[in-house]
Amino acid sequence: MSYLKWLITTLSLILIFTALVVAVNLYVDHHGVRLSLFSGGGKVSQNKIVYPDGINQHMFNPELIFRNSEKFDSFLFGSSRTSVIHVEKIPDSRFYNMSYSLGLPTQHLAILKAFAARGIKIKHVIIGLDEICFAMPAAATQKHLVRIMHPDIGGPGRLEIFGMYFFRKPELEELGRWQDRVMLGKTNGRVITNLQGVNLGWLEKDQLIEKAARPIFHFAADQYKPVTYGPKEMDKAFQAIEELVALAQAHHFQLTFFISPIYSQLYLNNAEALLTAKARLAQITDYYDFSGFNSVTTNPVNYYEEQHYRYQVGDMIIERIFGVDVATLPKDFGILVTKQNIGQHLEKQKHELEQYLKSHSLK
Amino acid sequence: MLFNSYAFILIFLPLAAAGYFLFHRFFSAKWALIFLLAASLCFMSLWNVQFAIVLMFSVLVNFACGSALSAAAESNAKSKKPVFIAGITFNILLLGFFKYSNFFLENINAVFATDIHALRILLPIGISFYTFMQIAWLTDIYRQGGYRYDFLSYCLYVTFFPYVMSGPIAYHREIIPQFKTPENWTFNTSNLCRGLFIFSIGLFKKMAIADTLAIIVNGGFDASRVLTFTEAWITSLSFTMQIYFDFSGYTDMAIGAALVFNIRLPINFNSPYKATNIKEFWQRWHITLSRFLLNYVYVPLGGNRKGETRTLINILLLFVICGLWHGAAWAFVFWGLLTGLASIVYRLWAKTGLRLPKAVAWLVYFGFFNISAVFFRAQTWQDTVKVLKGMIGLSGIYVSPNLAGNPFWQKLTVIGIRFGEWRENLPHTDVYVYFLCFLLIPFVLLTKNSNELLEKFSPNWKNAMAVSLMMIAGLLLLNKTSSFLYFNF
Repeated sequence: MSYLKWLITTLSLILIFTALVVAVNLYVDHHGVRLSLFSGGGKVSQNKIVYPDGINQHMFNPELIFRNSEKFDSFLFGSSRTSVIHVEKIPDSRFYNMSYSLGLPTQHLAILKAFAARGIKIKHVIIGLDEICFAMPAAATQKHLVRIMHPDIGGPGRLEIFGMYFFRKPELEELGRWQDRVMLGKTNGRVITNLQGVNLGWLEKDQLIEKAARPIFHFAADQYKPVTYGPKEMDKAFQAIEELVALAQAHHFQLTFFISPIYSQLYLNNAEALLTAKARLAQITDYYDFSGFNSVTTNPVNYYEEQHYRYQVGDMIIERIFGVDVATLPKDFGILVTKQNIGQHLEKQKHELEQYLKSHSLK
Repeated sequence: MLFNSYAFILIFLPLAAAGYFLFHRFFSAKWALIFLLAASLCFMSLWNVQFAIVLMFSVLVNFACGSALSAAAESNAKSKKPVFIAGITFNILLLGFFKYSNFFLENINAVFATDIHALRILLPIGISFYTFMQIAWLTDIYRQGGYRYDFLSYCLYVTFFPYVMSGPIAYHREIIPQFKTPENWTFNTSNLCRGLFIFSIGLFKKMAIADTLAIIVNGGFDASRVLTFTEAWITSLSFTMQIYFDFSGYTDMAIGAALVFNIRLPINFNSPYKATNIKEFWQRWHITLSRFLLNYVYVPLGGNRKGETRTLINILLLFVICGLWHGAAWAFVFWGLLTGLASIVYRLWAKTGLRLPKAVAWLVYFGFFNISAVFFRAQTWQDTVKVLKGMIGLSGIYVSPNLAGNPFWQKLTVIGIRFGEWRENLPHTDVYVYFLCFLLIPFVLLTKNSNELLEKFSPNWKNAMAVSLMMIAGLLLLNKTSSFLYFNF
């Protein structure tokens, strides 16, 4: 074989192998990037949309709004925890649930700025906060393909994104999940949402809890080891929150913050750090606080596992914020925190923490 | 810019090669060299423009010194020695300033309880390599005279992008004549094929092997608090393999990239893990550094010409310098000391005329290298102690709980063996990754190395297929881009 023939053969083989791998990745599309950026939209059937379970919602959700800017006028942001909130139940608005994995205020801000820059009319924005918002550096969440930002919202360019997602070795797990989802029609390997972006993937577990009428997981903090959040992460989160408030004023939309009802056993070691965050947040904006040791967060039946609360808890959050059926809500669930009552609120929460530690012999 | 990046493989290298040969074809050799020099400086600037400025500063001063030295040597002037000393001093000071200032200050603070702030200095990539290359040039002129080059050729010799960042430490007499040979000025398909062949091997070594081993190494050395016996051995062996595949992979890519320009670089690795003693190892490992240290440090120190005691001291000094060259930290000094002592022990042993069976000799030396590599890799003394403690079983010896029913293993509980998770403190990854370091041992012992394969390369279907697969595997893994270990040195 001559050198020239060898060179042509080798380069051709490289091209063929490359094309094959890219084709497989495009077809499997584990992170839903082809779906969102390059072909637009998931498969709608019976008011549900089915996505692969590796879907990058940081990319998918904004792109969906860009393409359907007239359909929605209000948005709920947060982490996967808030994805169970049935936003269609919110009165007088057309909400879309924008929740994405490990959602951070800096990311919410970037997306809302992009909406505003594109002239999307915004009526109301609700933002669910939790300990992740104050503890997690944005760069850490950006390392995984599930969380790379949209190319027009601070993410890499489309060409780079194409390379990152499709010009790479497909993982066996992704192929397995694709097989389950597409070839075998199994429920694993997919994420289902309704047309308002609400994650319907917990329905089966929800029915299981209803049927069993008891918790389906066990998680307990075995010792009291309070965590502290990095000052840099805290500063970034609060700077983003301040900018969000300014953006709402500049674009005349209503902005509501709430702190998610974190499961009490998970909340325990975050409690002290979150009290500091809550004090700082009250100086910037009013907010609803659903966290702490209340009748909802201390009852594991309200959770699918230690991280995620149930649809019914999401409903209660909406009811408290919008004043719907308030009489049926537990009185200790959700309090509007303002500059005026923050001192009193923190005292009460500190007391509850001490009581909890005493009663569980953890201190 | 990294060799293992799309920008380098798909854009920079093809454009630089095309431009170089087009300038040769349509303009002149001088313009082609200017183009390649510009490309090399651009390559460095893509890391950091300041790195390119330091590089050019070093080149300018050395060229001035070298030219003056060459003139003095030709006229046998008295200024020869002072100029030489000035040139060497400049290089040592430049390297010392960038690489060792903060180490020096840290030690001053520790000894005298002072609080001198560390200097805000970025270590220019490649400075350890191009400084040695230029010291070699100055010394050659001083010793033999001659070696006068035009400024352009000299600049390109020092800055040539395939080796400027991590070697091989090529000598001026190996490279500059190649740039001046007219046969090398035209595009050569054979060299391109050979370059692609060895580049793909290097890319595969780095991306598929070294970076896979890095999962265990980083987790074991940096993240875990304690390592049990098996975990510590897996961690240390993984590093031993990682550093070889990483650095030799880089060198293969450098050799391949240079071949595209019809430039042959000296080899840097010759199956080092086949060595059965420390002397042989250093003749096979980082060969261009070893020969530099031998010719430009050991020989000027007196080598073996001044009696046995002085020879042993020189060996020790040589390896301490070698350790310090690798990094500004006491761990590197200690590693150098340990290696130097091992060399002395080997020298004394060899004199007795006793010989170990080859397999035993290999095991002894490989075991020593594996342990000494712990000092080389660990970022703190605590990490070093953690790994070594684990390796000698002080943190527990755990075997799979599946073996708990086996009477043989039950008996071993008397000597402290426990049943439990044998990889609990290591990152969770595919099972094959834990065993990769063991699987690679027969591979490094029994197969030909990339330089031997390159020597025997002739185009055929089999190697076309192999190169394609290695290239595509490397390219697909580039999305997990990491930098080479030897950039730190």
